[in-house]
Amino acid sequence: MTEQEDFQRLLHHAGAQIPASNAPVEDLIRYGRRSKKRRNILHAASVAAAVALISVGAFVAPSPIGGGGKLATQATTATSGLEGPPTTSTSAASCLVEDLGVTRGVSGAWHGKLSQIIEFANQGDRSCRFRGSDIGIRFKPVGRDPVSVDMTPVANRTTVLRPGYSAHLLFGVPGACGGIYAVVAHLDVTVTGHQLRMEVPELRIGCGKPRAIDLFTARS
Amino acid sequence: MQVDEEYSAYVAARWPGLVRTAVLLGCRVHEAEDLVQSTLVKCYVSWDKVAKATNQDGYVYRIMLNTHRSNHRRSWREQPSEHLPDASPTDNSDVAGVVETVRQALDALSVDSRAVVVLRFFADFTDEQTADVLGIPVGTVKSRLSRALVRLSRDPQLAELIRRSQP
Repeated sequence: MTEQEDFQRLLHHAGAQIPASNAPVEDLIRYGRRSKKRRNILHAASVAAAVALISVGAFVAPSPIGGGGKLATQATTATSGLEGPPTTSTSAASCLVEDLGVTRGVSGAWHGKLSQIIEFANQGDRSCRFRGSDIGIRFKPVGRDPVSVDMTPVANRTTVLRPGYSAHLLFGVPGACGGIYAVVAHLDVTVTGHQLRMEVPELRIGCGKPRAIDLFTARS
Repeated sequence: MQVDEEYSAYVAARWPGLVRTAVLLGCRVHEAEDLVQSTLVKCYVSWDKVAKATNQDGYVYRIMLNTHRSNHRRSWREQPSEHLPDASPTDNSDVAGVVETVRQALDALSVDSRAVVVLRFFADFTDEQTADVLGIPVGTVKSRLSRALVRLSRDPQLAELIRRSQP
């Protein structure tokens, strides 16, 4: 008998002694359906966003804001990070502020609105629950009154962020007036009550009330 | 639904083998079950591709190995904790001594060589299939296997196990 056959036999012998529970087939199908649905939504949102951005041709390269994007935190009230396996958790704890890196994503246009994406990357090592109602965005154009983004359309949206994934908040401002590039003194992003003030060089602010459009998940 | 039926049959048949492969790749039993679960959820999402694959098992094992590598990389970023969690009843300390000995011997191999050994000797893939799963040339599979065998043959505990298991 060759050495190779000896090892082969030994590995099979060892493998047979490893306990394996019954396959959780029903759970896997349920999780699979959920993942498939999420993937389809993401795909549709990405395609629509790409088409809208390309059609206007108004890309601004993604850039980190707030000096690298990691939220400065004074969080003391965050919930526990306990939860199940990343891909299967349906009861993940809320995202901790210190685990989220915030960056400014692409800006462009969406269905007649000037749009901007803000990305919230899960830089922690656990999945966490990210809710639309946890986010607030406010900015102050130079020489104008502060403006808050109406988050109502995504307030009831919840997504589970696996490590390395980002929640993308897309918001838009009616741009029928031609799309004004304005100097914005700062952009305030609030997550679960903790605020980070970020300097942004410019933002297309349009001429109406800014409003959240979508909240979706993608790999960072 | 035909897809669910095919998928269920596949999962029921392959689950134990996939979990055991994951354990031999270096996972604890509960980690192995999580890894296989993640893998099979991904397979469900892309079941049309899995079903059409010439080597269905190869496709699934490739997903599992990629997920394992990705988890492995992530674990490097994990910070040590001052407080150890309570021991889980499914922790791998319950595996038999022979498994632990084999696993310790495999621990001495690089991640890539270990994957070659496990795929060839436990999952029973051919050199060509192993090369396809790992995305490397057949020659690389053979050379890694050869080096791994040399290394494993130097392990005295493994040699003793082989000697004792001789018919």
